[in-house]
Amino acid sequence: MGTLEIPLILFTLLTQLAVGLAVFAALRQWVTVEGPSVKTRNEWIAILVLIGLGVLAAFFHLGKPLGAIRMLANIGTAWLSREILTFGIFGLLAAVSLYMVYTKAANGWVLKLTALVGLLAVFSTGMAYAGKAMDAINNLLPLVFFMLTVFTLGPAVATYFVEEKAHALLTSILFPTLLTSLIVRFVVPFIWLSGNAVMNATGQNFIASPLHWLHLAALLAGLFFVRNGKSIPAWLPIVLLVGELLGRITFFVLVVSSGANLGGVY
Amino acid sequence: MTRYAFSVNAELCIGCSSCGMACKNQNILDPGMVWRKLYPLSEEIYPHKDRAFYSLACNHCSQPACLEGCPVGAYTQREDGIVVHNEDVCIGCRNCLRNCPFGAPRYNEEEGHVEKCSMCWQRIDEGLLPACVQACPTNALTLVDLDVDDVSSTVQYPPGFPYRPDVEPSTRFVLPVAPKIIRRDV
Repeated sequence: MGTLEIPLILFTLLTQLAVGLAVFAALRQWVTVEGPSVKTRNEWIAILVLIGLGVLAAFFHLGKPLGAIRMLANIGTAWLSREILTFGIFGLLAAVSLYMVYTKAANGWVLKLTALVGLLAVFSTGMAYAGKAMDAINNLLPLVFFMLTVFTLGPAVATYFVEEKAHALLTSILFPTLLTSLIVRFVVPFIWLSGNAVMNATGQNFIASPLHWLHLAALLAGLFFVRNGKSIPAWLPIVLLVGELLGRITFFVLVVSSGANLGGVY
Repeated sequence: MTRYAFSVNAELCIGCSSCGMACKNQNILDPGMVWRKLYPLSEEIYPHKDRAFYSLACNHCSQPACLEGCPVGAYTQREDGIVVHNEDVCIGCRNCLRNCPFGAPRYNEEEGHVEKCSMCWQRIDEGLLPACVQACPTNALTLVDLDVDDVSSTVQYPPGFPYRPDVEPSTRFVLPVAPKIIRRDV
């Protein structure tokens, strides 16, 4: 089994929340031509704070944090280098977006570009975590899981930064995302059971884990409370955030590496 | 050309761990750090009373996943196939641990970097054998040149070892033979 990498859990979760907020800020700008407001400014400040906290947490993962700048050295082949690069650009664009919103010179194209680069950064994260040692997730599943987190937490937490009339737009995205996430996260561990010994062990770990089922329960609660499609209760984003946190812990801790079974049947 | 690889003869290996000890001594590994380790074959693979072992370290793959995924370029591959890890360049991100299907890179918490078997390339350059190979009392662990030596009787992906042609591990194996059971009717 893996280890409880708290810095990485926080880094991935906080940056994905930031990307989710950026995506839905850009979407609202696009769909409703929402003008700059205090709440919008606060949203972009939150995005920048989340990126900052996420990157800060990631430093605690490194054995030699002062060498972090060298992580851009292998962009040619390493998805981790590409992840750092794209998150760096995303952070810069988010700062530009905040400046534009603050000066009431918001340019929809900058916001959309920020959201797009954020999604590319999450794509890089998904590829970086598809480690070849992890048979169960050496595929597109990390990308799927991370994108589901982006599209779950983005619209949910965005409700704190919009007027209630805009909730309908957010719930129209949140409901299908929660449904998809619930189905995918429920089914995947059972599919792993049909794989090789390492995938099977990963599937068994998930099915036996209370954290995994609590994550699914949080998604189910979200699904239940947004089913009317009108509003999102103020406490629900917190429940969903805790659920994603539990899910991310299971992702890092319960996936079995193929090297753990040397000498055994594969 | 030269393409160095370890050859593990599980029939000859008696599980004495001399290889791992020699590796620790040669490389002055910190307490708790292991670059070479013995893995007993499970009973599903070798269902006999005596045990059989694989002595495993880095497999110095042809397509090293560690090298490909390292964001700081701490891994390099020599022309003779040896995958070298530079601890001074490594920043301890542990991405190689997620990428190596064989669990070869190990994280040194005290030093804040990853370490792994170097195939004792410094010794090889001096015409010596890797410490583990030299220490093996039964010649179960040997160094072979895949471009010169006849390895046709060996196996690249034996039971108990991940089947990963995508990274092409260089290590070759000779499988253990089932022990001969002699019964005497009383």
